[in-house]
Amino acid sequence: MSHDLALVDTWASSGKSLWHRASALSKLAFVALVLGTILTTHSLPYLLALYAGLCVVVLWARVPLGAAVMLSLYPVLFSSLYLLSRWDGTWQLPALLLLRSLSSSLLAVLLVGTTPYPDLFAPIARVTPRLVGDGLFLTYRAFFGLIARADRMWIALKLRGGLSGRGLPRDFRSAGEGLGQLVVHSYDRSQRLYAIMHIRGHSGRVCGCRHWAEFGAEDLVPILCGTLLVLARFWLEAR
Amino acid sequence: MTHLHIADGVLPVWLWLSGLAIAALCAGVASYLHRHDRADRLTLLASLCAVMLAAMSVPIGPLGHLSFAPMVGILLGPGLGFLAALLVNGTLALLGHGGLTVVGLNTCVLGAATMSARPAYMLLRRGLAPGRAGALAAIAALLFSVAALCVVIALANRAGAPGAALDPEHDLPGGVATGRFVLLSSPFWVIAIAAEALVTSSVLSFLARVRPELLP
Repeated sequence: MSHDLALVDTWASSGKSLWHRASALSKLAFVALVLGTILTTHSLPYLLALYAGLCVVVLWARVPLGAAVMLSLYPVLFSSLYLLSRWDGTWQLPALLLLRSLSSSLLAVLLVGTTPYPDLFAPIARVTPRLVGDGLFLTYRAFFGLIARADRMWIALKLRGGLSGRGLPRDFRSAGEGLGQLVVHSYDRSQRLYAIMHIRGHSGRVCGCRHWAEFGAEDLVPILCGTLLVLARFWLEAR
Repeated sequence: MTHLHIADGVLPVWLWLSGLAIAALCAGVASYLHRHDRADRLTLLASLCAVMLAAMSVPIGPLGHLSFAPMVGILLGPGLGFLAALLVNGTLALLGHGGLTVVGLNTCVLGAATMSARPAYMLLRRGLAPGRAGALAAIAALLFSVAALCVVIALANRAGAPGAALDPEHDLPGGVATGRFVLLSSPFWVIAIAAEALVTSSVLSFLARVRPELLP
């Protein structure tokens, strides 16, 4: 999990493709358009074509396709129990739910893989209460402050025999002690961050990024792609 | 394992829309109640959400991982605990780890654990040491969360699968599908709740030793 977040952040902040240069707002509109289509279609050929189309867009955005697809497989793994419980003996229903899950998760990975988090959270912060908007931004920031320490701690615990990796009760007690240290560290870090915010004249809102609404010619790319994918649905379903 | 990781397009539209509405309402109320908090509560909320994300790297078997929700709920209380569930699920959804549309339902299920943990802990703390009280509070909070998850699944199954339009004759009765889900998930829930209780107890014992002022 922690490495996935770090990986996606690297893609978003170091990419230079057309998709990276497009504003967050146009990419959010693209996601809304395509997600709406995914949720309302029952056509398996369309969903297959859409998934293939999204893979092409991921390649176009120069996001590593293999890693992005692996990330988008998470919900399949976790939804398996629900799909098994709903299985009616036919293959259409699992295929439909599976393709919907895969497409929507790849869509989410495409969005975060091409949009740096301050740009992505800025429009969200505008429509949510302060604690939620600023909380999202600060959580992301705090996570990257914690990730290296957490990694070092897990490695140290494994090397010293604290974690056997077999899910024994002793493993969870050791993990608990390690997490306790992370809690203490996080508490101290949060106090330090508050002091820094106070010194810098914190005005009540954290996120002041305005790049999310800076429109350019690149914004036509997500809008046109989204429209094309929606039109393709009507064309395929009309045949 | 106790919280939903079902992706977009699996649950009926009215259900995830209701989940979003309930989560927005609860988040609005929590934000209103905490509007005069000092900014260090915001930084603490963010830091503990980050720990929650880091804790999710600890696997419980092949399909599950720690959620750390009861522990964060005990430290933050019900209001900020619910907001922590929302922030963590929002971050996870943007990674494709759970759907964008089911953020509301995911938050309600995980929020059930974070909201109920502190009251249960305070009740149990009267007669028990922090570690034991924490373990029992974690079990109570996660059972509450599992109950919320079962309600969501039962409601979803009652409405029929979104893909049932493909072949209505083959659609399973809601009760059968819910029963199957509970049967398939129960072993994972038992293991996850036991692991979470052990971790919560261990963290609370550790904090009681080194930084007792952090405990409620």
